[in-house]
Order: sequence, then C-alpha cells, then structure tokens
Amino acid sequence: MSKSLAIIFNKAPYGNQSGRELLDIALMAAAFDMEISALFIGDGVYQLLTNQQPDILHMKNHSSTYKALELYGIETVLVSSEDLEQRRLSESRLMPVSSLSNHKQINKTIAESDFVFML
Amino acid sequence: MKTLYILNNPQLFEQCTLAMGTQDALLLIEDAVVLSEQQSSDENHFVLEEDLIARGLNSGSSWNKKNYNEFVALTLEYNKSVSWL
Repeated sequence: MSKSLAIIFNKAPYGNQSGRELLDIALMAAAFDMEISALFIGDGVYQLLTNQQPDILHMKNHSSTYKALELYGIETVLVSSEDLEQRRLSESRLMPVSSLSNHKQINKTIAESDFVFML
Repeated sequence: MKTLYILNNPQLFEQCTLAMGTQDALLLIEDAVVLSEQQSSDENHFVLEEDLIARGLNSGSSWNKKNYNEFVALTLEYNKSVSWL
C-alpha cells in the first residue's frame, strides 16, 4: 500500500527557494507513486498567483511548473480560503491548479498523511 | 493518527497550533522555547529543557519540560512528527 506524503507550502515565492524545492520534491515523490497532497497555507498561497515575473530579479519562474502537479497525478492540491481572504486575494488571481479548501479539510489531510514535509 | 509538532520558529506558533488536532502535541525547541514564557500551556505542550537552560529561561516556564532523552521517547509516542518550518 503506497505511503501518503503531505507537502505544505507556507512561504511566499522568491524570497527563498522553499516553494521551488518543495515542488521538485512533490514531482519526484509522485514519480515513486507515493500519494501526494500539496497544501497551500499562510503566505504559501502567493505561490499560486498568476503572472509572476521573477526574471526581473534574474530568477527562474517556477510557478509555471505548478501545472505539472496534475500531469504527475497529484490530485489533492488544496489552497486555504481563510488565508486567501486574510490576504484579500480572490481565487481568480490564482493559477487554475488548486481547489479551494479550508483549514479543517487541510488539517485533516495533514493528520491522515503518513509523512508531512515542509521547507 | 497522533502527530508530534516540533517548532523552532517563534513566528510560526499561531500557524502551527492552527494545524494541530486535539490529540496532537507540540514541542518547542531552539529559539521557539521563548514562547514558553509568553504562551499559556496545556498538557500536550512541551518545551526542550536544554534550550531553555542555554537561554537562561529555565525557572519561569510553566510548560512541561523535556530533556533530549525524553524528547526521543516523546517521538515514539506519536505516529509521526512534523518539523514546522
């Protein structure tokens, strides 16, 4: 029975590499047919904003890679509606890669996962 | 599934406790031990003793103290542990 891994994104992009690295880990783990869930909470919701243009900082734009989550069979991609609201972000400003969720559901996913990973 | 949350960053206290379930436990380590002076504790809240002593905070805290060995024993009481970063 394959193990489940919850990966939690809680940091905004480009100030550090945690978003990009977590994404790489998610895709790799999915290739080893682990059951992955990608959870976006706190400032991690900013990872999913559209029209990111980090080339102005000479940095690689990893946000387009979030579209690969579905391609790699990662269906559970949840973003916290409470944390979006707190930041006055509407779902329409996000890339169409995640489903709107709430803390209760996200916490349930964390509790039920065999492993939880953050950076 | 009972989870042990391990926190070393005081800024993430609220976010971490928000994620915790009622059966889960929280262990403060490294810089986060300062929280044991500021936050009230309940029975599944712990703080690492060595990090308190190092910071001269050992007397004031009402949180349950665990030393390194007890920390290891604590991790065995839970299904998994999460380092909240």
